[in-house]
Amino acid sequence: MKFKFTILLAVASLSIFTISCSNRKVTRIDANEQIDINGSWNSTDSRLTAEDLIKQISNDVWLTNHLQAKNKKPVVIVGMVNNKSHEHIETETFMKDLERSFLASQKIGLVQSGKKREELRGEKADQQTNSSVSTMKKFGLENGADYILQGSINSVVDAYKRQKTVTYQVNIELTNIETNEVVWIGEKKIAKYIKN
Amino acid sequence: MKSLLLLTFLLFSSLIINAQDNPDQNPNYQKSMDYYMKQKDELQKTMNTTVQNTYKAFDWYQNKLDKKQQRKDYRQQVRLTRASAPSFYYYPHYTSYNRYHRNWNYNYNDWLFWF
Repeated sequence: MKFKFTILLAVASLSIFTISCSNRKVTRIDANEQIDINGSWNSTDSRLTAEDLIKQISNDVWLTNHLQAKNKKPVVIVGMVNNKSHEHIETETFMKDLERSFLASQKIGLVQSGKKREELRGEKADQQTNSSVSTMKKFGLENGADYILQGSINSVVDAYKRQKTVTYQVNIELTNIETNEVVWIGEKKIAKYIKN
Repeated sequence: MKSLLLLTFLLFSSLIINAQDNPDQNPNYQKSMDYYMKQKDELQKTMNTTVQNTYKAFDWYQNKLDKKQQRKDYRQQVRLTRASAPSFYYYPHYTSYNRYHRNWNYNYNDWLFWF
């Protein structure tokens, strides 16, 4: 009887302790608000990178050169971004902003790449046997890209005791697929001073 | 007959011109094309992705915190090991002389005999 009471008391105490510990509070914030918590790469860095790169790519001379030479808007495909920094960084956050800006400006065309392109071709293959002839999409009519967008992220860390400086360098390059000529290199540097 | 021959000649000429419409193109381009056509799937695997080639940067403060955590984890592991398999030499219970000596050939992993 006494043993049972002890167990009951222990369980009750544990429950009270658990409930009292869970004082987590979550509030929605503006996605553009700058909140730095531990100094790592965050949404603000991604946004600043996207904004700067969009400005650079849309105002550069490569676009006018292409329009003069070909008399039609350039078509871009997104290639690989190599993260060589000291942190895990997912570049899709700012690369998607860049892609969206292409479509919004109507000056640069965009074609699908990677896994999504594979899925599209898979769907097209499926249509060859399952869709009606009038709605079936044909192979060999994709838009070929004129340029490929590739990038890299590098970082430099300098730390001693409770002080640290981190510099990120994001480079995005646009290369002519036929000639391998690099027509544009965008750059964004973000430097941070962190004191613990 | 003459016109037929002329037509055939023109047709073949146009085909040859179309096949190599850029006179500056390297005549050995086919070798390179064959080489890359074989491995195009492999080369396109990382397209539209972020390849993570990260490195570990030395951070004095983080290193200190990590070492502290390592020490805590090590001490916890030692405590757990001692608790799960108490040694005869470490924590002998001198509660009762007879009880202490009654199992000279006890199983070291069987800690229940202490209680």
